[in-house]
Amino acid sequence: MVKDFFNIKAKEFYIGFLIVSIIIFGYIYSIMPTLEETFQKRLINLTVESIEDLSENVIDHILSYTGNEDLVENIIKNRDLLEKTEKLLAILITKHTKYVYIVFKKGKTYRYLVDGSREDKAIPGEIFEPLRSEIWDEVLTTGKPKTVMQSGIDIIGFTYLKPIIQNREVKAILAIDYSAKTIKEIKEIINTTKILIEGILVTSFVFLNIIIYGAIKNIYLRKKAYIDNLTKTFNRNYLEDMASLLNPASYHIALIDLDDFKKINDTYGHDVGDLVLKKIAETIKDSVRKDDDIVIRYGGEEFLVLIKAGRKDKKASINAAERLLRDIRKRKININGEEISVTASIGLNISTERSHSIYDAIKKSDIALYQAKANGKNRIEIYSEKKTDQSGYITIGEIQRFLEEKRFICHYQPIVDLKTGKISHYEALVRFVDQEGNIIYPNKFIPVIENTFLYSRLTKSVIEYNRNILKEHKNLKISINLSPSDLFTEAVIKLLEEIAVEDKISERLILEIIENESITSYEKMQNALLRLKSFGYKIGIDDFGSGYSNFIYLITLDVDFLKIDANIIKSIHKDRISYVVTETINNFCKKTDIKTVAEYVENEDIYVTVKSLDIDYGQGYYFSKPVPLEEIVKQE
Amino acid sequence: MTIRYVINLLPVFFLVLFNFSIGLEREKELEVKIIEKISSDMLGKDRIRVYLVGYPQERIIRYGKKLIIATNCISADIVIVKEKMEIPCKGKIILTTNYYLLLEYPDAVGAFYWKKGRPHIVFLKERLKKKGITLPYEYEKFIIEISDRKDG
Repeated sequence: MVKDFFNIKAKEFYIGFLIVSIIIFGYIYSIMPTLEETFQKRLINLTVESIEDLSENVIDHILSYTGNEDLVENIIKNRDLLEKTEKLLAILITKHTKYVYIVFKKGKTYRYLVDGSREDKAIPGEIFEPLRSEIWDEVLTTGKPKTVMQSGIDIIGFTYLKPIIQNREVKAILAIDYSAKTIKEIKEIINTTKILIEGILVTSFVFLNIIIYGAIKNIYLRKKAYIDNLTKTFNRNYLEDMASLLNPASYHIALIDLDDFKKINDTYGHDVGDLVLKKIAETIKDSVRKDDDIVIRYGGEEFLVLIKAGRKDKKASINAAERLLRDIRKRKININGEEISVTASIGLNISTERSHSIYDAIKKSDIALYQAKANGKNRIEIYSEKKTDQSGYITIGEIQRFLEEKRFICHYQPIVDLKTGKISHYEALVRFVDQEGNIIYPNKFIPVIENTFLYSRLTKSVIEYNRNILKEHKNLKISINLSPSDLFTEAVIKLLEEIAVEDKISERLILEIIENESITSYEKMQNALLRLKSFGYKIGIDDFGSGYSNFIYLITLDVDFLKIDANIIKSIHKDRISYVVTETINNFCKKTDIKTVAEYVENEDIYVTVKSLDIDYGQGYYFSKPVPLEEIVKQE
Repeated sequence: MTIRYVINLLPVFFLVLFNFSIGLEREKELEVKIIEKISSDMLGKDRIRVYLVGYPQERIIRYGKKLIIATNCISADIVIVKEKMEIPCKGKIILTTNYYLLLEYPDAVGAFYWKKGRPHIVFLKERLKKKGITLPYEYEKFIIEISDRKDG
């Protein structure tokens, strides 16, 4: 998210903002006349309201003079009443009202009934020309007061019309002409408000644009300040400013330091050193995910890679670090016709959820980096605080330490020829030994490193370990486990080739391919197995029946033996299906010249059953539990 | 009927409604034009000799294209009265610029005047009849009967 923020295209954003703000301001301007009209109506209503109650009282008084007699006739006939009514109307004359009078309709024309005005007085019965007579008619019809704007009359702004209702009939209209001065004052208020609003709008438009433009420019300049000139990665300024926004738990941190970089500077000069840094930075950027991961030049030849990851993506981050190291090693940099390459040490922190800040997380990567340097450089060290995680598994960092310190051994379990009862060979089973001498079994660490580079590293270590034992004990035959991914790891295949060629012990080292992973390419696997067979190795399939086993796969791979999974064998003496499955597998193998091994022969019942099925070999506690090498040697 | 009535009145109303608010001078001009139109419509003549009673001569000279100021009352086609004064000749058609004067002079048939900022045109039906004047249809709205007036 933080990175995305800096990827905003400033120009497009600003233009977008400008268009939106123009639309908004345009809209406000377009509704201004309506607002103005509403505002004017409201002000006029307020002005009228101030006299409404008084006019109501005046009408009540006038009606009280006439009693039940017709208002119009009574006033026309009675001069005293006319004078009294005139006086009452005169009360309604204020500095805002110019004329106050009562009109009635006779035939098609309106006539004055009483005129309380101080000037331009009309006489009773005089014709009155209302100009917009339809509005006056409406008041007569509906009996509801109304205000008429008098835009055509110079001296009058608007007229308030109030019906005079006698015996539920509108007899006349009380008209109050407000002076043009009043409407002028109202318009002045509106205009002042309008100017004020327009001023605020224009000012805020200008200021908002200045602020947004400034902010975008600032971001642009800051972005520039965040980029390292040489490598075009982010620099430490970026980290410093973004540190508070970066949640350490959202990233795994790889701190990369180029090994012996000083030598490059000393040998080739600083210009070449800079070129190497530039090229390696390109390699790092190409190796990580552009949208998610963040690459920072942390120091002279130090790069920090923030690998976007969740808590469960630890293996992905380990593989990302492995890929980074591999890509750096592979990168060839041409210096005047000479190709040079560099190695790097990587400190990886995949336990960032325990860090309270990004700097704390980096510090732990730095500790791991120091360890990588101390352990001989050109490697990845994973930071680890605890030896085991919440599930009781050994942590990756701890496993790496076991391998680095070679704190592992193999125990050996015999595989017995069921026809002769003699031991055919031993299966090597790896165990870690902690600093107190306790044995840690594979179920505590294999699931943690599956599908990571550490698994192949473990395989190589086990091969080396048994290579030495086979070289020392010429009569021993040992089988070791390989995963399908090991077969695709060139380093493992090369090691096995080296053992076959140099030590010539491939006939005594049997390879069991664990059948617990999905195999993506049978063809690739077949090629790898053919290559191994050409070195003289016997190949078997381990745990057949536990994973994705199928018979076609067996024929395709052309294996020498097949080890039937413990889950099938353990109930063979009491479960019909297990029995039939084993019998079927065994019959198939007999016909395709594949030897069979029954795992988990725990007791005599199982032993008798597998023997009766004519299975070739047996392995399990019935014969022996896995034991240290010393015990085998003693027996031998 | 109503539509026709409104359409017929339009020329007079346009003059009245849209012109009277454009300043005092324009108001004076408008007054003369309306007097001119009323006189022309009453008498059916293009050139009318007017005798003025209290009405400013220069106003007629300036704005009255069809009006000729008569120096004596007898030769005049019409008398325009603005102030209450004795009229030297009898029986002439009188137009006043005030409602009171309309009532005051028995020979007055009509009046044009401003009241409370609004323009007013009034004709008295009986007097028009007495003088044998028939006004075009568009004036009907402004004709009242004297009996109506007596209500006041």
